[in-house]
Amino acid sequence: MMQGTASIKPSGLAVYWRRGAGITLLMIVSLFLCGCPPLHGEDDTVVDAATRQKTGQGLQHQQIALDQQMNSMFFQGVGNSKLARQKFIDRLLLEVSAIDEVCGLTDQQRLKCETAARLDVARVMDDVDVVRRRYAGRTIDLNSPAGQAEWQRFHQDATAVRAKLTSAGDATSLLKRVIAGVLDDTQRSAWQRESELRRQYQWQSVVETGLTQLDLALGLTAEQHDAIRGMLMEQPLRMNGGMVWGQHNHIEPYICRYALSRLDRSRLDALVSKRQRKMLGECIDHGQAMGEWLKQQKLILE
Amino acid sequence: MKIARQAVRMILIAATAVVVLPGLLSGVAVTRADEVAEVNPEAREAEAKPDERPEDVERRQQLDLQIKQQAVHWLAQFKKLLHGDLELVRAVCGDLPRESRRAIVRAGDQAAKDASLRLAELQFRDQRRQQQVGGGLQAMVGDVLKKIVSPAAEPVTTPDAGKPTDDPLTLFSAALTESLKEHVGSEQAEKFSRQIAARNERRKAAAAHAIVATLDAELCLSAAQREKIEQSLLERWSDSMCMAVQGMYTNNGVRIFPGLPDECVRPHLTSTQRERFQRQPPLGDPSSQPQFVMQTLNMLNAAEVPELDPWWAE
Repeated sequence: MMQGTASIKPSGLAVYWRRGAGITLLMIVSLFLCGCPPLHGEDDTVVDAATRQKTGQGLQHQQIALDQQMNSMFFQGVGNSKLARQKFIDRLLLEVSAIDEVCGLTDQQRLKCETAARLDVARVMDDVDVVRRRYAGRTIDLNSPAGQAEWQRFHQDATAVRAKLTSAGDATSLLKRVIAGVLDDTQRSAWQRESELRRQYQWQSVVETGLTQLDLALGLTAEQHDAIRGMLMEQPLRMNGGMVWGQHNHIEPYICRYALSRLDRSRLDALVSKRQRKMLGECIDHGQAMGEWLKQQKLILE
Repeated sequence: MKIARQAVRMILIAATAVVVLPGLLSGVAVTRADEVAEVNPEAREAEAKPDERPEDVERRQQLDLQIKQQAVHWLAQFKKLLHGDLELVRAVCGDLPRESRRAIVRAGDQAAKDASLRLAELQFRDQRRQQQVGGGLQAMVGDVLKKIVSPAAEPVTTPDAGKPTDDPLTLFSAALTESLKEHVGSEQAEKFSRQIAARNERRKAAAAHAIVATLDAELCLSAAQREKIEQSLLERWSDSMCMAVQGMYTNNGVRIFPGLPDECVRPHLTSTQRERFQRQPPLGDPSSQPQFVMQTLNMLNAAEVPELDPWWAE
């Protein structure tokens, strides 16, 4: 009888399975399916490496393989030379398309511009390859002074490489010379106007973002804000837009502070109260101190 | 393959619905009840929780401690903001009676403390929620469920019109304005409030401008395109849009702008630019992203907390 009942009623394990364990197992399976590795921002690796270096967790962490470092530091955001090359070609071809939109290029003009763009990127990548070959396959020992010095040099080279990469298509590039050569007068003036508007827009962004800080720190009234803004807009700095917006985050306030340090101090002081002047002075001093770094990083071109 | 994918999807729905939904539903109730206590972690510590396991108590207390520590950091930043705002009060209102000055500074100090704690709470809100719904596992599966059931319904951004009034910056300015109204008069309070509103507009415009400048560096926009996109962003503005340029994320070498509404950008692009502007990943819950406030406050990182002008304490 008991056996018969048992054969009709499910066993304890079966009940458990039907009521809960099956679902639990499915849950676990689904979690595995959803369990992608945790997402990391690009900065995470850098922070981790820096922390490890600071805390000195074992000698093995003091050895830095430069091949890997080159990929992350030279080609920030893309991680390897192939993608970097493609990114810069795409960027310059977009510029050619933009010229086409504004000026209406002929097929031949367009072809010349696109060829120049590809050659510019090829030239820049060749230059970068020279630096890459210098460090290829090497490991730096941060425990030794020589290793530390080399690490410094590597950082400087990385900065130079990043600036070089964003210089593809800049004022000295083949593309710019070809554009100047192939456009007729009407097209050229239309493109110059467009380029000037871009420079103004970028400078306006630097000024506005920087003044947002001053607004808060100094408690500026709208009238004071407008007066300082006017002064800054009168004296724009020449910037590398690709570096400012393509390689860095939130660098505009620092550029703005540097720009403030180049303004007529007495005119500025006259716009603010005695108490605000002190805080403004701090911001200006900070901007001045940042100037060299901004130039080294090729963020501002002076 | 298609059948297998559907099977996995069904499994996920079934598993999460049975196991997680009750937890999520109870989590909603807990969150609502908790909103009152959220402003003050001490109040939460004092709450009697007879059914709480010792390890949960420890976790909760650790989180409370983290929040307090983070609030201390934000307080230093809000103090800088307070000193700037007091300067603005002085510029707008001119001379003030001695008693009024002291009362305004006291209200400002309290507002700075409240706003700091609120911001710290917002930063750790996800962890708090996970504790409340019985651990991160349920919360994570709950998120998966939400995305499977209604992927299209998830809002990418919510315009600021529907923004909750517990935004720390809003709380802070409102407290100062209220104090001015009480101790100086409605007219002066109104003047101050107008200055703050204008400042907020400038801050928003600067943020939208910076987003478009970043897009421009990537997409080589024309002047007309920049104008249209900026206009479109401002019309649909949500502070969470600032997340789009918080980090530099790329997908196969193409920069992505998380949470940037497609409809503000894509219609204004050429076909070539559209190829470079991928469909942007959603942000999830934009209200849990206080980055705009943090970014604003962090802007003041380099500045020292200025000493309060003795005039306020005379």
